[in-house]
Amino acid sequence: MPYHFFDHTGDVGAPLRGTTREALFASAALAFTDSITPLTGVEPRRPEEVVVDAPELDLLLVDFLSELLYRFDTRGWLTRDADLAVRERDGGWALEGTLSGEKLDPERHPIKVLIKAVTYHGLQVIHREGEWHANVVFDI
Amino acid sequence: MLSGADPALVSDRAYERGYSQLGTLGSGNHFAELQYVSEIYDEAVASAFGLRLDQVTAMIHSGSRGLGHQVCEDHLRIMIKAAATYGIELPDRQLCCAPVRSPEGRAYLAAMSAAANYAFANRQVMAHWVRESIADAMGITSEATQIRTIYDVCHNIAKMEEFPIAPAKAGALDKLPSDSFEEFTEGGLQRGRASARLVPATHTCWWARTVRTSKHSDQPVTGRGGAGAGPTRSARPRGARSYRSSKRAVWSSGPQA
Repeated sequence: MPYHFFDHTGDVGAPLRGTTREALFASAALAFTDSITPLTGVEPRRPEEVVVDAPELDLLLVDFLSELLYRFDTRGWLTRDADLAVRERDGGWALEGTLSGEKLDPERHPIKVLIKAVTYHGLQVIHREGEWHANVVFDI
Repeated sequence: MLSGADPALVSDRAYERGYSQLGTLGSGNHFAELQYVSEIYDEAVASAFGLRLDQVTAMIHSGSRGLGHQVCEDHLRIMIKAAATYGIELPDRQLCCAPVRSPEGRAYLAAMSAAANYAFANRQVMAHWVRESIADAMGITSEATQIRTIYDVCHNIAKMEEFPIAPAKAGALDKLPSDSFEEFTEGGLQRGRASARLVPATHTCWWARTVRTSKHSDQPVTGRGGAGAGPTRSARPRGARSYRSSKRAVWSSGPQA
């Protein structure tokens, strides 16, 4: 499992990892979904495109997860899989790709906790020992 | 309601997140519950609020929901850039900030006020439904419940406040967090130099009050920032401090309840 959860004072933290930057960001998307509802209950029923850019890689992670939060809050979107490209562009970073998932169904997707915001607390994205690692804290 | 709100500074995304959530409680530590007054600690205060022993009350803890969080998120992005511009070093990016009278600071205050007003409206909508629910359960009209709001406050917010300042004592500076008086020199303290910073954050609200001491008085003078007023008899450096209070709206029932 490329992520797990830790308690953060009143919030939920998620240390993430991936062999590539893309795998790291994809694990972040799954951790986001799994925070809200069990990932196993979410099906990749339809695709959605995603494009995000930010001046720095760690800020890109927050902006990407914030985009997922916006889609969940406004349309009930839950990501089951993410096929992403993360690259440097114009002095910053850009993420593009396709999310696979579905809309929240109260019958099949019991809510564990609702995420209010993606925070910058303890935000870190580093490459260590051949693997990408990140920490992100969700405000719940 | 907070004055100075500028709805134009609330992004479309914030409106979208807030639109579907108006009148909803939210999750986490939000709650709505029926309570009763089990003990009176201060008769005068209770009387002022119209509360008596055994009186049934309702309390709602909720706020600006996704709209407020989006406002915060939008301005965090701005503040992260602004902090670098103003040479502010951050131990944690979540503590990003800008001078309160800077364009970024003013914009945040105006958007934050709009979000707070959304929260007030949100609690009023839920209060309306609490009143209707109780009326329905009791088989009476909403008006007959006589449920009324006795207070409605918000937290997760920045406020401008004035406080009296006390004479500095020897060693007092050493007891303060270093960042609360980093802009002061000993001479600056005596001159009452001031600055203010504003930090948008979802749970902890920080602010630094701008206080300029009067040359001839112990009374504080509302701050202007920048150069101070000259030598003074009393001064205490102010600094950022956390502020947290209940964000609650309380209703009391009428004599028939």
